[in-house]
Amino acid sequence: MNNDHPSEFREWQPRILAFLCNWCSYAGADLAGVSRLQYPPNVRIIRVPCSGRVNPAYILKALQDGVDGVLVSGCHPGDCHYLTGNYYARRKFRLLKELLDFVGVEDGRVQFSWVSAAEGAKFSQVMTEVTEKVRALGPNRRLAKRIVKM
Amino acid sequence: MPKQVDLKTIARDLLTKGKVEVFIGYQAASLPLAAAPLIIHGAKDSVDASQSMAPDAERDMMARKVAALIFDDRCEMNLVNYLHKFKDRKTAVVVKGCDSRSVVGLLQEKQVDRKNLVIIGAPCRGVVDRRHVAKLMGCDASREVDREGEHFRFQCAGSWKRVKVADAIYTACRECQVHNPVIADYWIGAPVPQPDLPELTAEMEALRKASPDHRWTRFHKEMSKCILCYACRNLCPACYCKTCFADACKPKWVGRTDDPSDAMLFHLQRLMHLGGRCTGCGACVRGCPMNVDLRLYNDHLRSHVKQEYGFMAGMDSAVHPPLAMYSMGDCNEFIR
Repeated sequence: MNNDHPSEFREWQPRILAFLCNWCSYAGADLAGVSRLQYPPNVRIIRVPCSGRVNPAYILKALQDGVDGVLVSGCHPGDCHYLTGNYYARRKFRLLKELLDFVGVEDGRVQFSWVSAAEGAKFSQVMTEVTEKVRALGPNRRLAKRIVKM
Repeated sequence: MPKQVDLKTIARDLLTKGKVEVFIGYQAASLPLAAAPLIIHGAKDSVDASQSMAPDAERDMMARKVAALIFDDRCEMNLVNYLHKFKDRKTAVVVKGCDSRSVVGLLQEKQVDRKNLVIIGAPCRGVVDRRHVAKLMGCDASREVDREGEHFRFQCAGSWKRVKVADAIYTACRECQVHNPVIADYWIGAPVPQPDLPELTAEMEALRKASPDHRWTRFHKEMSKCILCYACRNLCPACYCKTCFADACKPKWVGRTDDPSDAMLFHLQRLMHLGGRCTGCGACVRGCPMNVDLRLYNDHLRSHVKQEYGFMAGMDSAVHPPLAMYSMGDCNEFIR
C-alpha cells in the first residue's frame, strides 16, 4: 500500500481479520512464512487457543468496527489439540452463517477454513482466495458502524 | 395424562396444605383484554414479607388472591420467567403450551429443580393481541370490550364493531405447534385439538427466496425501530444470565448510540445465544414497545436447528441441546 498519498487517492484495499488457532492454522501461517510463500498483505492475524474459543460476538464486533472480511481458521476435524473444540465450533459457525445469510449480510464476509500446521501452501492459497472474494464484494457497509467525524 | 382439576381449587389445596410456598398465576388487569401476573405466597413461605401479618389476616389475603385467579385467552405473559426469582422454593406455576416448553428448556439447562415445581398445565387456543384488536377495529383498545361468543364487540365512533376472536390472536399463536402443555402435573382444562400447520409460513418462505439485498432491507428496517430497551431480553425465559453481554462495559459489546448497527449487534448476538433454545413463545414480540419483528429471525434459526439436528427446543428435558454437542458428520461444506 502506498502511503505517500492521502487516502482518497489510494485504491481501496480490503482489510481482513483472521482468527487463527494456535496449534494448526497459526503454525500453518508460520510455515508459509518460513517457506517464503507470498500472500496478500491485507490480512491481520489474531492468534486464539482454538477455533472453539472464537465467540461469534468477536466476528460481529469486528464487522461493526469496520473490517471488510473475517476468516476463522482452525485444525482439521479430528486434529483439534483439545480433541473436540473445532467440532463445537463447526455447529456454532454453521448457525452464525445461517443467521448472517438470512439477515442479508453478503456471502463471503465471514469465511471459515481448516488449515493444518503442515499446510503452508494451503494457508497462502486460502488467504489469497479470501482476500479476492472480499475484494470482489467491496467495502463492508452493512454491519459497519458509521463513524461520525467531528 | 395428568388429572384435570379446577384452577382455584388446586391453588387453594397446594397453598393451604403447604405443598408449595409460591403460586404463580394470572389475574384480570384494569385494562380490557389484559391480564396481569398474580403471585400468591402460602402460609409456609418464610421468605415472604407478609409473615409479619397476623395468621388470620394472612389467610384472608391468600383466599382473596386465590379467588382472583383466572385463566383465559387474555393470559398472554410467560410466567416461567418468574421461576428464576423463586429458584430454591417450592413453586407452582400456570403454563400454556408454549410456556411449558420454556419450563422444559430450563429443566434441560438445569436452571430449575423438578422436585420444587408443580406445573399447572393450561391447554390454550391462543392469546389475544390487544394491539391487533385495536388495529382491526381502527380504535383505541383502552375502551370497554364486550365478548359475544366467538366475537369481540365494542362501540367505536358511534357504531358497534365486531372482531372474531380467532382473528385477534397473536401471530405466534396462529403458528403454534404445541397448544397443549408438554409437561404438567395437573391440567386445568380439556386438551384442545392441534391444527395441522405447514412447516414454514408463507412469509418465511417468501423471505428465504428473496434476494440478500431484500432481506437486508427488511432487517435494517426492523433494527432501525429498536431503541435498545432490552425488554425482549428481560421477558425471555431463556435469557437468565446474571451478567448479560449487553450490560457489560468491559468489553462493551453493544454501543449505546442510535446507529442501527448497535441494535443489529445486540440482536444478532442474542439470536446466536437463543439458537436451538428459543421455543417461540413470543414473549419478546409481545413486550417490544417498538413492534420489532424478532419472531422472524428466531423462527428461522429454530427451523434451521430442527432441519439440521432434528431438535425442537423445549419438548423433552432428557435430550441434550444440539449446540452443546457435536457429531462427526456435521455439515462441513461451508468450510474451506
